[in-house]
Amino acid sequence: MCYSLSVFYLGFTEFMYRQADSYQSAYLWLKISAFWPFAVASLMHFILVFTEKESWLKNKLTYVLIYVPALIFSIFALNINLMSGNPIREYWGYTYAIPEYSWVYTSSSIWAVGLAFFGIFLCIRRFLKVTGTKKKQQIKYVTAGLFITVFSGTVTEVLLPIFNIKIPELTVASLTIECIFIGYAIWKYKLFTLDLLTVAENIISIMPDSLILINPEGNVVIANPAILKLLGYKEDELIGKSIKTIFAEEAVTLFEGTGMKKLIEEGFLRDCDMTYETKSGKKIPVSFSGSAMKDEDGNLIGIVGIAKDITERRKSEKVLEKLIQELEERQKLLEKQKYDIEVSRRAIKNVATDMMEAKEILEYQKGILEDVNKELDDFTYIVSHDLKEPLRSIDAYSKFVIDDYNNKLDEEGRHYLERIRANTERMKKLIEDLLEISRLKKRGSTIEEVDIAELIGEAKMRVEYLIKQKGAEIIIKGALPKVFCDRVRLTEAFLNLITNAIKFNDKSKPVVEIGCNDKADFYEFYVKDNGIGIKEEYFDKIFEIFQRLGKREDFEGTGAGLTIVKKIIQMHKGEIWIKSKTGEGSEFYFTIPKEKSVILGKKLIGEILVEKKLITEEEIKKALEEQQRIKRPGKGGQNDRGSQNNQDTAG
Amino acid sequence: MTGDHKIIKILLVEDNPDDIDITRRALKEANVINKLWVVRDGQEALDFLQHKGNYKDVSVSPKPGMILLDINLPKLNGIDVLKIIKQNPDLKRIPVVMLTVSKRDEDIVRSYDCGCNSFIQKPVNFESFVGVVKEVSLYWGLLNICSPNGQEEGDVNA
Repeated sequence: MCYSLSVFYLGFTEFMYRQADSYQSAYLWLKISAFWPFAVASLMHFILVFTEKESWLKNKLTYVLIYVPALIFSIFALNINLMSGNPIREYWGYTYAIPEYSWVYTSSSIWAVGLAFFGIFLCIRRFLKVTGTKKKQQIKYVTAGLFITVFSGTVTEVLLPIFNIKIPELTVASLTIECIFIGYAIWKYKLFTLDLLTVAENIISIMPDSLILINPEGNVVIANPAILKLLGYKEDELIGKSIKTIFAEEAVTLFEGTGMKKLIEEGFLRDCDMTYETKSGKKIPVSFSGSAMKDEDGNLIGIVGIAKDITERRKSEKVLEKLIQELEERQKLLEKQKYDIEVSRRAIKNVATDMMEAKEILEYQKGILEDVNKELDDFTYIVSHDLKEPLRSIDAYSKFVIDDYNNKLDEEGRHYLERIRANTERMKKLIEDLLEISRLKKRGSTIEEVDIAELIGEAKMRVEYLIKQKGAEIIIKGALPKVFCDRVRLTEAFLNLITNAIKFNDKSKPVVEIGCNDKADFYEFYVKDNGIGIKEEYFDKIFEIFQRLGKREDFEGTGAGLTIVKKIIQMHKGEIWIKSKTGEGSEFYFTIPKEKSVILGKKLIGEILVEKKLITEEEIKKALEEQQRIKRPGKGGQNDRGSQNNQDTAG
Repeated sequence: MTGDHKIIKILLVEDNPDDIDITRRALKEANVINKLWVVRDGQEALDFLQHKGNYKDVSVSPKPGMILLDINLPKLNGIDVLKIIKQNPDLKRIPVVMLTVSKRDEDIVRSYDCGCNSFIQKPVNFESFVGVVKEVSLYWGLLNICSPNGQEEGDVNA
């Protein structure tokens, strides 16, 4: 538009100054035409737009390079003395005189001619590059027009004046011709406007799906870049070739048979699975859609085929198929696991029922044990009450005789009565020991952490009289630990051992040594003495009830002490043993576990299994829940089991 | 030892004649000035205390200052008797000393649960028994201040 205006301006001013009737008016019009360089500049601008040099057009420098010289030359042209001479009257009208010597004029001419030639160069390049017949035609016209203008302009305005040949300058006329050419190009080929065919061409060339046009003979007429790229052919390698080149062997039969039939009958073919074959022989699965083109008489004139590469889709389909298969396998595995779980569940159920049965048996046995304990309790009562009562009477009446009939008794009679009383005393002690032993297990115990040093101090205090009497010494070797135990009973045990160590001692100074060895899971205590010692053959016997090894007259006591000690140690889940040499002394050893739970012996089977990592707590929890679930139906579980047993016996 | 010559009224509940003999003698040897009534079983003890049966005459069965109660008794055992005594508003303030050869934990616990004032094991040795009788009698009969007889509960509390 801008270009057209500038050409019009140029043509008009030139006409005016040429047709001027006087020198003055010619001069005026010549001045007005001084902005002619802008026409050249806008021509350049037009060419840039036309040849789609978008990157150049975006650059501001381009405009500066084009329009700034135009402005400079225009300013010079206003000063006629520098640029061109005054108007001269020629036979065809006024023209301007070329100054004798004007570098401005020369450079402006060179600039204009150079720019024009550069424009032509761009057009030719564009012509070679562009595809599509319409565009080529357009460029052809525009370039031709431009060429004529430039040629005529150069010849008439630059070359001829140099040789002083005076003819009218044809620039303007040729410019008009150029305008005609451009106008024609616009009219004929719709320059700068879209039409369906251009769009279609564009779409075909840029579409990602492959497109072919086949003539009725089955040869390829058009192949778009997508199919060329897909199959690896060049355009001329495919055009005119049979469609057999494109389709894989098996697809050819399919296409020529079913596909063609459907195309001819129905006019189209939609999403048909076909296989293309590349130049290198690689097979490509495609989804083929076709459309038959017919002339007015209904004769087939060609087939358009669009194919979509579905390799990726196929891949995804395969992956999907594989996934489904895997899923099915997992489902099967799950079913199997479910079955296994069911089997385990039944096993657990059976175990649980067995356990419940065992529990019932245990309950029953517990009942029996309770009865036994009751009997034992009764026995204890009998021993303490019924046996002691006659003893009391014997003792009391003997005393009454001694007191009341003292005068009538001689020495021997009194002695006999005293012996009766001594024996009642001894029998009382035996009964009490017996009671103590039977009571040991019955009395509830409290296991607490006890400082053994403190405990021994207490025991020592209780035998203080004996220690003083015998002049004994008790030595504590090393540090004593704190252990979990029943304080009262363990004190009793130490008391018994210390008493024995001092009592069964013939040395003038009995020495008792007490110490402890730390043995990983338990403590090992010892009580050593320098007493009479025990023969090895009696090592086991001494722990039996009422076993005495010394002569009764020599050593006091009933012989139940060690039995009591052994019972106490056993209650603590410990062991007791003896090392001894006759005449040198005895060493009593016993152990007490370090773990409170071991002493209490309250560890459940489950806890032990967990400890040994044979089962996790989670599993126990589950099993117990399961047991609860089985238990809930009540008799149901039992009946189930009953019938199962019946089956077993039947089978 | 005691200046006021206070007589301790004791009811002995004991079925074993030997024990009656021994207890009587022990009291004597302990120099406890006392008046002793002896009943031979649990039922008789209750009759005596509640003036029933053979003991309707109150002068024959005065309210004792202390009861020595054996556990192993015919008809009603000692603990049953103790329970009844301690539930009876008229009798519950009389000190009851369980005197027995038994040292069963169960008996001890039950006796205290039923409100006995003392639980004493009869020593086999006679001299020891004399010591026990002396101390028990002096403590419960003289030293310990018993609830005044014939007084209403409210007054006692006040």
